[in-house]
Amino acid sequence: MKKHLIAVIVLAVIFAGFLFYASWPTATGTGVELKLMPVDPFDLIRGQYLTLRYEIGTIPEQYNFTEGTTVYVVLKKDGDEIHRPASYSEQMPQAGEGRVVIRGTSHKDWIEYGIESYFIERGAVLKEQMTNVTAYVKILPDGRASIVELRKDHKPVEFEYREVKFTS
Amino acid sequence: MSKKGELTVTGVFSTIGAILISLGVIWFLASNWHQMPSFAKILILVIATSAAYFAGYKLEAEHETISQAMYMLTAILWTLSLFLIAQIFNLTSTFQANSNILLVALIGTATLSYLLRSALTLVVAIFTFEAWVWLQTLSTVMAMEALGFEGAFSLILLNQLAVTGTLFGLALLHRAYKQDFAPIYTWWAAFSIFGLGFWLSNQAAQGFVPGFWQMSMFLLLPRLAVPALLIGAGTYLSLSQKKISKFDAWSGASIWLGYIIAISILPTILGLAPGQYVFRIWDMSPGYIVQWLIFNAIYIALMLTVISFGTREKRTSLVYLALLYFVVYIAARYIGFIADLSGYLAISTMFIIGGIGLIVVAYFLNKFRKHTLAQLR
Repeated sequence: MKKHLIAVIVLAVIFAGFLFYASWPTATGTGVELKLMPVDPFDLIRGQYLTLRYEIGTIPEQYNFTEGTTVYVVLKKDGDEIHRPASYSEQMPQAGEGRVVIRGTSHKDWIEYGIESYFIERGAVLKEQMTNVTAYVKILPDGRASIVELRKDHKPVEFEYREVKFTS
Repeated sequence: MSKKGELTVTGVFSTIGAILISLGVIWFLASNWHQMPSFAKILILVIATSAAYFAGYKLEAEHETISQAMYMLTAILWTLSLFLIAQIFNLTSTFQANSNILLVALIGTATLSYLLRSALTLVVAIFTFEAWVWLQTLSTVMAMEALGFEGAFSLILLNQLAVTGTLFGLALLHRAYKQDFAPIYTWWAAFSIFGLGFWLSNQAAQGFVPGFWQMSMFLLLPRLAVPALLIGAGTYLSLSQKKISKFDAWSGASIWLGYIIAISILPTILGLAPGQYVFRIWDMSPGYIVQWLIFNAIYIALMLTVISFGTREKRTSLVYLALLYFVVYIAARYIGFIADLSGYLAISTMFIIGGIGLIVVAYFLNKFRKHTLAQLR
């Protein structure tokens, strides 16, 4: 009986820990809107998703980061309510009024923030063109981010879903 | 499969049943229906995982094999529930991110297999381990562009050597303590090294080998040191506790070391530079032909070692594995010879020789199979 108790506790603790880790930015993070440009691939287990490329993902010419370096980007809200990068740094910048810091990993010419996939129902398509679409993202004080939803004109984007049948 | 890893009809049926349920759940996850709230999806998987575990627990006393399949199903459903969370919270779908999820899953499934002493759950854990290594390899290859084509292949080769060595070391350690999982680790170690050895026995693979030793020590050392330590400790303990014969212990370790030496030192001795990717033997330089012959010799030694060990240990699954790889090996060499000897007369001769050869081999295989089965009974 003891071994079963330990087994259940181990599985439950890892499961709860992972759920906590994945949901924490969505639950407690600061919300920002980021501009993006998508394409759509497929994950073997998790299904169809949109690959998101962010405006803040491009490394400006004046910065040169080594592959795999952790990069902190200070975001500032523009007049159109979209957050845009104000500065890039390899050290965590001081928190300031109206500033949000997002953490990423540098690659050859872009930064990965861990929010590049948005999972949707299999066969779902966007009702409108994917232009001027933004991602509403929540960010933790340490810079880890999580996508909440995709937006257009600051409202959630609408998807067109296939009719679900037993044979579909 | 029972706790000790023996196959039974009930075991096969219940294992296939558990796999089918798992596939159904994967399809369910991939559909990602928007009508169903995320909370309901998590709840369904939590209930399904708990139900599988409870069924395993209830059936343990009287239906051991079905109970084992239920524990295996628990491990798979639990792993899938991690992927469901990743889907719900849009965790990025890169090789690295998925490999991290697999590593978390590996901790849970391995713990479960040892606590419940469940052979099938251990198979799920080993499968997760192999998948984790592959995804991590692909992620490293994508991240380190400087590795290049040869470097990427060298890393795959190195990681497969590490996986094989780790599994072999774990097999020896489990054997030393007379643990039930030893045969499972042995089978998977053999499966992995056969895959690696078969690839290296092909002519087309030879050009990739010389680049291996040019990899940085940062990549090489941990990947070779960990399995070497496991094999060393496992060999020492199983020998000192007289759980394995000296011949078996040293022949297993020698083949693993043989591959490392052949991959790392041989190209330097033969003065080979990377980059000769050819399919026909006539296009290979003498040095590459020698390297190719040595890899084939090690592969044949591996087959003989596994067959000999499997026969003496009465392990049909090991003998069948070796025979399967033997058939694949012969087919590959035969196709290779046909490719080498282009021309109507040569191909005609090769087909006739091949046909006669296969009939003779079939006769002796049948004789050998009957002899082996009689011995095992």
